[in-house]
Amino acid sequence: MQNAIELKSVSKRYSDFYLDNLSLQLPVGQVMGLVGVNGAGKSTTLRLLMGLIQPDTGSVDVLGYRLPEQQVLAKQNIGFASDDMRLYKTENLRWHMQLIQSIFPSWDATYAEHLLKVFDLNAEQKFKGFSHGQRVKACLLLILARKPKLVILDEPTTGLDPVAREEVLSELAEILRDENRSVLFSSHNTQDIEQLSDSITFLHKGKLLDSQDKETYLDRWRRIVCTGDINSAGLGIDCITDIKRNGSLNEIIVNQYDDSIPERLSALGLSVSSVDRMSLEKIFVANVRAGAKA
Amino acid sequence: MSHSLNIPLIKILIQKDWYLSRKLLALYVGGSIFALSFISLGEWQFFMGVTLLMSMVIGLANHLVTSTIINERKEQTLPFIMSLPISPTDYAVAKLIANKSLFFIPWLAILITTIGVFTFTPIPDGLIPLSIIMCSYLLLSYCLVWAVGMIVETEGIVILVMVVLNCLIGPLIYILGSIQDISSHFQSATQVWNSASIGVLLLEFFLIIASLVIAFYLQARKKTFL
Repeated sequence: MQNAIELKSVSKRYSDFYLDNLSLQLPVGQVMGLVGVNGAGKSTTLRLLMGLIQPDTGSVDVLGYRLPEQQVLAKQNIGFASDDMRLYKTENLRWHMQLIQSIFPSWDATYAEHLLKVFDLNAEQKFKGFSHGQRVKACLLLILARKPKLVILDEPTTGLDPVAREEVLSELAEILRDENRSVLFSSHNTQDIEQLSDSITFLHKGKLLDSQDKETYLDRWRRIVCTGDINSAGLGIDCITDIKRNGSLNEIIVNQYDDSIPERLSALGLSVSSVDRMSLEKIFVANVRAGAKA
Repeated sequence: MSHSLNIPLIKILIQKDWYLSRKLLALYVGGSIFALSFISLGEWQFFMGVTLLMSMVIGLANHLVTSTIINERKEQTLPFIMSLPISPTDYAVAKLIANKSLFFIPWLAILITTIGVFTFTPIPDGLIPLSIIMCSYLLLSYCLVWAVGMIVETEGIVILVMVVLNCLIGPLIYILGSIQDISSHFQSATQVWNSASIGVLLLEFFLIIASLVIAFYLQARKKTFL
């Protein structure tokens, strides 16, 4: 399968941050959620993919073009929006739509009008009167109506009220029906990523912690509750990410679960009372804690 | 980041900056015309008109750099522009042409009108070389501020450069006035160009070209654009 995005051993050093040897692939037609706390390297990664940052080492290829050298060709088919992106406040949305239409022959005017209604936006309103939610929706309209092959979104739902968030997510779900369109989006909101993405990539302090398809990834993690005297060093289970003790009650987080683990815990004299799948949010927190301890 | 320029998009970005600066341009050109309308009516009107005229040109220069370059970063419209199919070099070329044309056309119109006013009114024509040197200094100041605005990302530094260059206007007039080869012709009925006045003018144009070349060189070497 051809990759819409391919990063190979990419490094980028700043005075206070280091993106460390990042390798990542996003196959065409897939949706990847990029998860990480502030300062994890999400925005740096997305800016590398827009050709706005030159990597110190490694290579960045987007839609078959080498970046940053061929960013003009790549960006013909990339729709990019970030939460810090603003439009010209003295002009209205219609003016911005006309500007984008004059640049992209692929602009779909009918779809743009459809999005205006779905997002409940007034095209004649000047941008300075827009709320945060309206700004996000306006930026999405401008990129979705030009039908890009690759959509890159940096925190698209941050700060949105529940209604606006639902409108944005349902429209994103709609565009994902196009099997040739690839999407990479970063978010703090693990629910959004769980809802939309095919694969999940975790970044922490500039390092790639994990990148895998969503189902396999979620299936790997378990929260095991057991009672008994526990000695983590003596458990002999490598995939334990975290152990919390409360008296004799223990909560064990494992990141490479297989069915033999409860039996092995029982063999060590522990009484396993429950084995639960974990939400992405719980996994996110466990991953960050494990990264902080490492 | 070598590539051919995206000319159609550069044209669109130039038109965009012209469109967004139209009210600003009208305001300062209107102010300049007003200043020129009474500059020849008497002595105090001359000094007031010259002060107002210089203020208008300086204001236009600083306001243009602020609104089209600094504010694009500060108000975060730069990520929107850079999401379009352009490279940082395309962006620099678009900003160069848009800003220089936005400033140069009214600047040239004001310069020609000033020479016209000096030529066809009782104001001594001997002041024309000084006027052209001072107008060229304003063009040089604008180019320096533009270059700094393109290279650095700190608004404070750009404002500092604006202030320093504006503060140099008085000393420059004083220095020109103390150069005998230039100042001795201020009250002449005809304009006099000699090696001193031509030398100052050439130095100004050399610095204009140098500032643009350095701005492009440093822009091309940037490894992080946003």
